[in-house]
Amino acid sequence: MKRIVISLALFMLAFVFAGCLKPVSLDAYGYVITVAVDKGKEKEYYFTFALQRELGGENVESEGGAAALACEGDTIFEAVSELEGNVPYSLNFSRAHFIIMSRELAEEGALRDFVMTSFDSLRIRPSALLLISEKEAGKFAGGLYSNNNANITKLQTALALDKEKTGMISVNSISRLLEDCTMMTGDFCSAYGAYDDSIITDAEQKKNESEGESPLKDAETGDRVGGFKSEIIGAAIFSGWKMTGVLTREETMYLNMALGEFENGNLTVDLGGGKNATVLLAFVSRKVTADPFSEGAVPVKSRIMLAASPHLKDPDITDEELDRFITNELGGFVAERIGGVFEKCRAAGSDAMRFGTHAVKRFSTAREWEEYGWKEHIDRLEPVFEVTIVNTDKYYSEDMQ
Amino acid sequence: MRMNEGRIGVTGAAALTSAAMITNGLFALDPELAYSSGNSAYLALPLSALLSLVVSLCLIGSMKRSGSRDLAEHLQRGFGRVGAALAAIPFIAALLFCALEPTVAFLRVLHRLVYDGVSYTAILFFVFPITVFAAWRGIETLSRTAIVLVTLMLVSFAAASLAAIPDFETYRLYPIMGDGVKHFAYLTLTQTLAFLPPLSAAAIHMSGMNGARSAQRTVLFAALASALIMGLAELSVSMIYPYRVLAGLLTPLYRINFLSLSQSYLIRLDKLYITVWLGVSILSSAYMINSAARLFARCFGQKDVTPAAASLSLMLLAFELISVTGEYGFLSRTHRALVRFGWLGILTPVLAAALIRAGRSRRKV
Repeated sequence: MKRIVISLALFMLAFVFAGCLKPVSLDAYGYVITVAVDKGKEKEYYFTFALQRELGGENVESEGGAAALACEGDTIFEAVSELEGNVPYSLNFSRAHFIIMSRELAEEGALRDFVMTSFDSLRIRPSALLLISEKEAGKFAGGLYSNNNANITKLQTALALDKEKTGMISVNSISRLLEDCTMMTGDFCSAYGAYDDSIITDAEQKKNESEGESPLKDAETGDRVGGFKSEIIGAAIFSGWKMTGVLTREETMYLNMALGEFENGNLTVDLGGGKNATVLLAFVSRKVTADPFSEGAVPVKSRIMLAASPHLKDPDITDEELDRFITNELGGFVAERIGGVFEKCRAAGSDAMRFGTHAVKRFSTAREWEEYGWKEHIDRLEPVFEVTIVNTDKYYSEDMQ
Repeated sequence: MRMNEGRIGVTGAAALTSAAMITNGLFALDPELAYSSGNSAYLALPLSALLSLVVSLCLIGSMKRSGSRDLAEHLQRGFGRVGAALAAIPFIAALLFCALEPTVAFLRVLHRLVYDGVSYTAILFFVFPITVFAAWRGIETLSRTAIVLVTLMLVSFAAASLAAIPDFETYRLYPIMGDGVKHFAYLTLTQTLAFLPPLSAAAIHMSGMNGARSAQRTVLFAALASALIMGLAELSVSMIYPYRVLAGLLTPLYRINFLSLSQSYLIRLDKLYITVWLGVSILSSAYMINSAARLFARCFGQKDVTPAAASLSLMLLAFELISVTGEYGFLSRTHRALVRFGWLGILTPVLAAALIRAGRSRRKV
C-alpha cells in the first residue's frame, strides 16, 4: 500500500517537474529587430518597430525583409500596449539589434529616459547597437531593410565586420552608453547615418527587370546603386547623455585609432608634387598614460603603432621614396589628424577618446574618482599623440631577399 | 530513528559544500552592498571564504579534540542541553537564510528576465517541491547529485567566461580597492554569513562524513575551490561591467555574454546556464534545510528528522513568498540587519563553545 501511495505521489510530482511555464508557440510572437524613435506630433515619441518577417521569395515588388509597426506614445510601453491590441501576436524584444534615434531627440538627451526605463522590462539585450539618424529614425530603419535580405538579423554583425575592414564606423552598444554615462570614464560615440531615397536597391532593379526595363533605368551617373537606402556617414559624439557633434567617416577612423578600436583601413596620402599613394593600415599596439594629479594641464600621452603596406601608388613613386614617407612622415600626418579629431571632440565637450579609462587607474578608491569629476577636467587635457608606422612590405621584401 | 543521514565521501561532501558556498557567494550577493561604491568583490569573496575556512577548521579541530561526533553534541558538551538548543537557533536561522537567499535571487531573475509574464508563485511551485524532496532524501542523494551538477556548473562558468573574453576590459577593475580598505574589510566580514553556514554544515554532518578528519578535508577542498571559482567568476564579471552598472544588475553572471556582438551559439546559452545554476541552487537549499533540520532534531532531542525538515521547508516557502511578493518593511529591515551582522550571530556560539571546551580540557590536565 505504502509503495503504491509513494508511486502515485511521484507520478503526480513528475507533472510538476516536467512542466513548461506558460508555454507560448513561436508564431505567437512578433520579433522586433529594430526600434526607431522619433519625435511625436501629439505624444512625446513616435516609435517604429521593424519586425523579422519570413519572405515568400516570389514577390519581387516586396520591398524589405522586415515588417514595420509604428505608433505614438509618451513611453515605449504605451506604444507597445497600443500596437499589441491591434496585431494577432505579442511583441518580443529579445532579438532587438538596433536602437535608432533621430538626431533631434539625441541632442535633447532623450536617450537617458529611453535607456534607463526600458531595457530590462522589454528584455532588450544591452548589446543592441545604438545608431543616430540624421533625420527621421523610422525612415532610416526602413532603409536598412529595403533590400530583401535573406537574413536581416545579420545586419549587426555586418556593421561590426565593416568596422573591422574600414575602421570608418563607430559600432557601440547601449551597454557602452550606460557605462560612459554612469562611470564618467569617457563619452559615448555611435554610428551616424542618413537615409538616401535616390539609391536603387536590388529589389527595385528586379522590379524594373520584370517590367521589361533596364534594371538601372532611374539611375543617374554618380548615384550609388544597390545596397541599403540607409548609409552610415560618420559618427555621432556625445557629452554625457546628449549628442553634441558629428564626425565624418575619415575622422571616425582617426577616433578609432585613438581608442585602440581600429583594426584595418585604407588611407590615401599626398606625397607632394601631385603624387598619391594608398596604403593599407593595420593596428599593432597602443599605450596611453594620463596623469590626472598633475598641476595645471593634465598630460596625456598616447603612443600608437600601426603597420602599413602600400596598396596602390603612382608609377613615378619609387619604393625607397614611399618607404621614406611611410617611415618618417606618415606617422606625423596621422598624429596630426588624431589631434584634430581630439580638438573637435573637446569643443563638443566630449571625451570621446575615453582618456578617463586610463586616468581612473591612478585613483585608489571609487570615492576619490567620483569626487575628482573627470569630465570637468577635459579642458585641462594636454594630449600628445605619437604615431609610429612600420612599412611591413619593406621587411617582407628584405626577408624574401 | 529516522535521521536519513547515510555516509558520504570527501568528494561528494566537498561538491555539496562548494555548491552551497558558490551559490550563496555569487548569486545571493547583495549588489548594492558589493558594488554601489566601488568593486572589490573579486578579492573580498575569496578572502571571506578563506576567513570562514579558518573559523570552520577551528570549530572542527575543537570538535576533534573534544571527541564530539557532530556539532549538536559539541554544543551540548559546551553549553549543556538547554544551552545547546539555544545556541543552535542562530545556526538554524543562518542555514535557512542561506537556503532562502539564492532561491529568491533566482526567482527574481527567472521572473524578470526569463519567463515572460509568469508569476513568482508559479515559478516557486516549480522549484519548491524538488527542494523539499531533495532535502528529505538526505546527504547521500544530495552529494551524488552535487558531483554531477557542480561539474556542469564549472563547465558553464568556463564556457561563459571564455566566450566573454573578447569583451574584457581591465580598466573596469579600477579603482582596485573599490571604496577603500574599510569597506573592503566590511564586505569581507559580512560575506562570511554566506560561507560559514555551508561550512558549518560539514560539522553538523560530521559523523555522516566519516569523522573529523574527513570533515576537515571536506571544508578545506570546498573552501579553496569555491574561493578560486568565485574569484575568477567575479573577476570575469568585473571586466565586463563597471561597478556602477553592476550595482543595478540582478545576478550579473547571467549577463556575462550579453555584450557580445558576434552571432555564435556559445554566447546565446545563458538560458541553459541559468537552468544548471538553478539546479545547483535547489541542491544547495536542500542541503541547508537538511542540515538545519538535522541540527534541530539532534539539539531538541527528536529521533526523526522528517518533521523538522517539513516544518523548516514550509517556513522557507513562506519566507520566499513574502520576499518576492510582499512589501513588508520589517522583513527588508531584518534582511538588511542579517546581511550586515548575521555573521556575529553564528560566529559567537561557535567560538564560545570552542573556548568552553578548550577551558574544560585545560582544567582536566
